[in-house]
Amino acid sequence: MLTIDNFSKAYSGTKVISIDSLILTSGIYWIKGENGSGKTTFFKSLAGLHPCEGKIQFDDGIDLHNNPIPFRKRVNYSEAEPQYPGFLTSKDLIRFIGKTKGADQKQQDFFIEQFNMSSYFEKPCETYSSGMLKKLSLAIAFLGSPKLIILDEPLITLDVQARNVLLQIMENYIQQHEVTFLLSSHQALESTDLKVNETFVIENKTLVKG
Amino acid sequence: MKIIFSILQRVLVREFYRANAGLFFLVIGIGAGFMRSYEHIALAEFFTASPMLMLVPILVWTIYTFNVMKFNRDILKRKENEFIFYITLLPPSQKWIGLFTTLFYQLLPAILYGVFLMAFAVKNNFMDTLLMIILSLLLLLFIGALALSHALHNPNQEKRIGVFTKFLNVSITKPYPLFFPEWIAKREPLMLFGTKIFGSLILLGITQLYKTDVYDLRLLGLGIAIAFPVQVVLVWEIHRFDNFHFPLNRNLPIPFTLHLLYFLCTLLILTIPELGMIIKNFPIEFNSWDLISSILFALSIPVFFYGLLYTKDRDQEKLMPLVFIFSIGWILLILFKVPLWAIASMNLITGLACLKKFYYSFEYFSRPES
Repeated sequence: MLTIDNFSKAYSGTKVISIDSLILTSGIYWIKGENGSGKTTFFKSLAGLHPCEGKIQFDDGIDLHNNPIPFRKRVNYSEAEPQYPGFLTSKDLIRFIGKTKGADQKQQDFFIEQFNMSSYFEKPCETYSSGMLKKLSLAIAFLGSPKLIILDEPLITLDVQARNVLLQIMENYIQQHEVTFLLSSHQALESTDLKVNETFVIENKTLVKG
Repeated sequence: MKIIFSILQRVLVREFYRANAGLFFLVIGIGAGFMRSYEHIALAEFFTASPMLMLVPILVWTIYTFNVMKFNRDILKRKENEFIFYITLLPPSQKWIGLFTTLFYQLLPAILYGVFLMAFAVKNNFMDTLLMIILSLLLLLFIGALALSHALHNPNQEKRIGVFTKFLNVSITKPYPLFFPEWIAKREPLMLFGTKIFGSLILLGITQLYKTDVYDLRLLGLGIAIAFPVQVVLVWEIHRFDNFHFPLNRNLPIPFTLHLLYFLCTLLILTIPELGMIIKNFPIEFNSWDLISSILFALSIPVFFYGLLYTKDRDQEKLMPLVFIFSIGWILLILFKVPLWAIASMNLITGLACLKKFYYSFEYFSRPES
């Protein structure tokens, strides 16, 4: 369980988003909002990519600000449009990030196989299509033992097979590992088999139930 | 039309000079520091004296132009610059004016030196070399603009991977400290080699002075206080790579000591030429502690600036005056006989404290995202 209290994020003194209180348990939370509403900023702040204000804490006390390393071990993030340095291969990235996240090679290889990445695993990212980059980003988001996985627009650019694999893995992670998924999608999630715990909309720079 | 000029200036011209700051440091350092005005005049008269000798600067201008062309090609491949391809939709006259103006500004150092040489060709009535200068510069300008136009009209060309690169990608998994050296060597090779050559030449020159006269360790300290602040352009790029080009880094649970170790490994790889120069040519009259304190002082400068970069988002224009001020400060401390190990300790403590305190709170000036 993740508790968010008095969260706020501002750029140069201008508030982008603030949340008084939010509790996320295991399952899927769908964050909606129009372009520029602050979804990605919220996600990046939770993932530790951007500094923010407020208390963001797991139920055992692990906190974003006071325990930055253990917190980051539990929170994984996949960008909407991932970009990586072009000369790096999936192998370089998955092995490095997997090591920092505590994922053994067996787990790394499992996701490489699941997302059908073997054919380009040892090729540099600059040769990838946007769908291939997306699969890499999603595979990275499952490495280690995350408790919160943030997926920004996870379904865009994915082929049907990869989409089904992703949904299946998410289902397994919720059932077996009690993981919380926070995701944004402009595509209707109702058309998938995903059981969404709760839907939120970002309105007037805060999160309201949708 | 004004907006087209402005975009091309920002994306191609300004970025080109920023990326090659190290090279220009080197050229200005040699031109203004080591050569006197009469030597410049003698060299210009030497070049313009015969068409054969004139080929030397023309060759240098050609290499420079090829570097500009490579830079333009690379910058157009970046996703963030895809909007620039709309220039191809402009009327041809406007497009070509924009491209020629861009190339003119990028080739400005060569053109200015060409004008300088032309003055001597006219003065000495060397009409054949005068013609060579004018024609070669016009030709290079034309080739550069043509290449830029070709790159704009042929976007997203398939990336070819060399056999050796393929072999390396299959054989090894790159460790993190190698990420940045490869990135900078591919992205801005001239800046990398420019800073390496400049730093190494300074240290070589300083260490050679010990062979002709008796100096204390302060002279080497002064050399380090000049050669290593130049490396700050690379430190700025490392910082940008860690936080901007590879932003997922900030989501990774990397402990402070490991983060520092990665940085030091990267730094050691990048400063092999300068450190090698100090170690190889270290004056024999000093002991091993002097060598250690010299190397510590050298490495403490990049560490100091790496930490400082986390305190606030600074672009290179804002960072360079700080580098200058701190370099003057170190030079003064050395002249006042403050030991190198003491200055190194101050730098390391300050740099590491800044890194520890500000690492997680650092943020680029960002725009709100969707």
